[in-house]
Amino acid sequence: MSNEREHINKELNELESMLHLPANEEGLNVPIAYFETLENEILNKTVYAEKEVSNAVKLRAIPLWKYISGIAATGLILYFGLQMFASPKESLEMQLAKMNTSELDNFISQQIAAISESELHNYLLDNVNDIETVLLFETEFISDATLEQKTTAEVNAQVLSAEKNSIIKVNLLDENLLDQLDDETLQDYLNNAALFDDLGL
Amino acid sequence: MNDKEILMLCLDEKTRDIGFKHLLSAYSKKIYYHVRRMINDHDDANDVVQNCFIKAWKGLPNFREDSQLFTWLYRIATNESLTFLQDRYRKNTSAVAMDTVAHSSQLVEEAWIDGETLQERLQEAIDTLPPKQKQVFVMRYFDEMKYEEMENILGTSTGALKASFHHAVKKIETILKDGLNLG
Repeated sequence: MSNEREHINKELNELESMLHLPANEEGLNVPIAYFETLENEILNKTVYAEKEVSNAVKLRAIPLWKYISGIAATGLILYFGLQMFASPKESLEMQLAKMNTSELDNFISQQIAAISESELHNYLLDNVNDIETVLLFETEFISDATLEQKTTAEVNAQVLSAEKNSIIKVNLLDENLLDQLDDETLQDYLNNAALFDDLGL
Repeated sequence: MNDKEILMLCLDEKTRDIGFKHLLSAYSKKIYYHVRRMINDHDDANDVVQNCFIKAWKGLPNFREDSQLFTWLYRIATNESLTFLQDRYRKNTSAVAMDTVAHSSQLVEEAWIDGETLQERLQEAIDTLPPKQKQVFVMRYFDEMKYEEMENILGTSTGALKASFHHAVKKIETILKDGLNLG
C-alpha cells in the first residue's frame, strides 16, 4: 500500500495539484466505541436473527459427570491439543470452528476418554481450589478427606471474615461505651483483639 | 485469520456464523471509512454500512471463489454508497453546491484555518462531485487503491478511471482555491 501511496503522490505532482494524501483518518469524527456497537448491531440483524433456539447449546442438558470432567479435561486438552492436532494445513482453531455442537461434544468425550484416570486425578488435585466444592462432591475422583479439608478451609475463612467484620464494627462504636464495660469484659475484648492482631487480621 | 481462512469458514454452512464474525472484525472499519468518505454524514454512512453487511451475509452462500473477498465487499459497499449518493444528488444538487460556495467564500475572511477545518472544506468540495467521479476520487485518494483493483470493483477501464480522478482533482482544487482566494 505504501508503494501505491508513492504512485498516487507522484500522480498528484504531475497534475501540479495542491492536494497531498492524508496521514490517517483525520477530520472524520466517529462516536466513541462506535465500531463495537456497529458489529453487534450487524450481528443482531444477521447471525443472531437467523439462529434457531434448537441450535443453542443447552448447558444443563449436558450430564454432570461430563461437565466436571470437561472442566478438568480442558486444561489437558489445551496443553496436548496443539501438539496432537497441529497440522501445517489447518490450525486447531479452524478445526474446532468447523465442528457443530454434537461433533464438539464427541471431540470432548474422545479427549476425556484418552485421558487416564491418574492424569485426571492429579489434575483435579492440583486445581482443587479452582473448582466449585459443590461440583467436586459429584465426582468420585476426589477423596472424602480432600473434600473435607477444602470445605473446612472455606468454612474457616467465612467464620474468620465474619468475626473480623464484627471487630471492625466494635471499633466504630462510640468511645464512651468502653467506660460502661466492666473490667472483665474489657479484658476479654482486648485479649481477642490481640489474638486477631497476632494472626494479622 | 487471513482472507482465505475467513472465506473457508464463510462458505461452509456449519461455520458461516464464525466466519462472518471474523469478516466483520477484519473489514467493518475499512468499509465504514470508505463509505464515510463518500457520504460524509456519520448516520447516513452507518445505515449504508449496515445494509452493506446485511447484503454480504445474504450473498455469502452464492459467493464465487474466483472473486476476492476484499473486492467483493468493496463492490457491495461501493454500489450501496452510489445508490445512496445518486438519490441524494438528484434531490439536492443545487443546495449542496450553494452551501459549498458559501463556505468557501467564508475562508477569505478567516485569518487562519486549522487542519480540521481544511479537512471539512475538502470533504465539502468532494461532496459537489458527481457520484461516479466522487467514488473514483475517494477510492484513489483515501483508500489508496490501485487502478487495477478499482477496475475490478467498478467495472470501468483504467483509462476512464484515471480521467475521472484527474477531473475530480481539478474540480476540488478549483473550489478550494476559490475559497482561499488563490485562484
